Amino acid sequence: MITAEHISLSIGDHNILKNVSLKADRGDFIGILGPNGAGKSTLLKAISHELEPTNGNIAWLSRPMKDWKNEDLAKTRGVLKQKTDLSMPLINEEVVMMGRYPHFKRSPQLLDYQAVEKALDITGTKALAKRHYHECSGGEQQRIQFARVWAQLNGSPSASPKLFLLDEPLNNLDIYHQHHVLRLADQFVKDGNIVIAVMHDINLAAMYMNKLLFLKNGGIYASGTPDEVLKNDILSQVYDYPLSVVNHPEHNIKMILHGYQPFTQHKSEIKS
Amino acid sequence: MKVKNSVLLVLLILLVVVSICVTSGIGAVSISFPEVFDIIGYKLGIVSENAIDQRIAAVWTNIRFPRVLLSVLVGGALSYSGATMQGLFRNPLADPSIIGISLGAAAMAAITIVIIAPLMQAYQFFGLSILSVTTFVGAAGVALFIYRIARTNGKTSVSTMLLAGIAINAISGAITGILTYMADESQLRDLTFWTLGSLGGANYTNVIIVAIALTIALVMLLPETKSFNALALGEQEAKLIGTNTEKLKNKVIFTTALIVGVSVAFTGMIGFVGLVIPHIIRLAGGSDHRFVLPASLLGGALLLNVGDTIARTVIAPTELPIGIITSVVGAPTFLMLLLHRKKTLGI
Repeated sequence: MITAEHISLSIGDHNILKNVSLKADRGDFIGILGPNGAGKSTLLKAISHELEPTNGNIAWLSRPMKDWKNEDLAKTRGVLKQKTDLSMPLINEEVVMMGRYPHFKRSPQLLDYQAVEKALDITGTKALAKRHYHECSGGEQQRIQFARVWAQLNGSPSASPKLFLLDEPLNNLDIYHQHHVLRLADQFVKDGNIVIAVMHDINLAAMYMNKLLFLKNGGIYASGTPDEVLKNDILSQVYDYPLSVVNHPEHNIKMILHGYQPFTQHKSEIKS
Repeated sequence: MKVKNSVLLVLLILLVVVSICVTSGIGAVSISFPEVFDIIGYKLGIVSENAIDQRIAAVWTNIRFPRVLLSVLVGGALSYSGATMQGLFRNPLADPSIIGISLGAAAMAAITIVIIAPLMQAYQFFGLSILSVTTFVGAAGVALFIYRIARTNGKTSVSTMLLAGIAINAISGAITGILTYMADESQLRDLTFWTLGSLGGANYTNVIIVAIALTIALVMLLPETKSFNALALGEQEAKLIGTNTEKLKNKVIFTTALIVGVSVAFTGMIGFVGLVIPHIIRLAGGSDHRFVLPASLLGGALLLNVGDTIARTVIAPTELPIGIITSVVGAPTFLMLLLHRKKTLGI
């Protein structure tokens, strides 16, 4: 479905991604994790066709990414950013309707209004529909944007799988809404689609995702199922901080505990 | 579109039509409402020749009506291009002057009045004054020049266009300044008059040219309302929902060069219409461009039509430059809007 082979990406003299490969099929919920500056968002932008890789190939639905036109790509691929500002004052339901723009020519059809309605409903933002986007809190704005991308990818009958890319989607959200977003994404995956998300919270990633990809310094440090990659030594080395993996007391999932380490001038202790 | 906005649009259309009928009757020779209808009926062949006063009909047909039409078209064009600029630059404070178009035209006007005109025998060029031709070249030329500068690898950088606009404005200001210094008394008067704008030169040739330019702009950009809305999310995000932002930029630059170019050519510089009207429209009916673009067109038409009527009657038989009226009405309105926005949007 989506394949990225030996992706390298440089901006100026900076080699941001070095030989990264990634593959996802229907039913994959993939987390991209790693420290700041590891190249997580850049990898997501390469996959979403916002950035052109310097080397390597990316293909979606067996078609090279560079052959896709934005208009067509937008029908099967949606992207949610960390934060989206509006330059014009718009009502939230108008923002959500933008998700339907790839699907109608000039004026929204009944199908589009239904998709918006459903998106507002499913994301619990119905009460915000008539309010101004600018007047909403950061968390509310993020939920409206989620509803927009959800409306983009759901609501049109189509046999093709959809690709949902999220860049740190849980910013500004409380615990309930973090799980709400992840559960919606999980359901979307179970419907036969693909979700790839840049994440900071390893525990949440381990709970919902079936593949984790740890990046460090632009390369893949470890990748596999949560059981395969969530190991004390791998995590501690990726993040340069002592982390321990334990089992959840109630569920059959892995959890990460942070070690305690007082501040020191030299951070060589973990590596030794 | 919201029902309220559809009602507002219909209301604006009616207002513009009524305004055309009323203002074309106002002036040194007063023509009443029924008389205006009789003249229109006579021109259409519905009313017989005996029913109308030929002298009044001639005043209306040759003097009033072309001027009223020009005010409607130019007002609509300036405001419409202001709305598209604000959409493209994602900045509610943008207008055509932001990329140097107005001052570029002003520099050409100064060059024409002070240097070219004294060298020319005839002052006509295919029925148009030399000044119209050169100022159009100035406005359109600046727009295309800035577009060239901002374009690399098939992409146009909006921020480069803004910065280049500042530079062009500075150069144009300098040229105009030097020529103002060199100008003699009558040239100075011409130049000042041009800078403040006037619809006094209206005739049917002007009207038809502006109408054609405006029609091209409407046909090119009215189908793009979706793309303008999407740009509010940012250029990158607009692309992610399938917007062809490069095509939109090309269209906006081209239409702005065209309609602002012809407007400036026939009426000189008329400020504030392109800036204030789209703002008022957005406050009245929100920022959906399916509403903002047509409503700005109608609102601008209405404002300039009424403004020009004031300009030519308030100190009759002399005329007030229209730029003074639009600035006197526009600037305070604009300040009020800024205060209002501060309160509602926390800017």
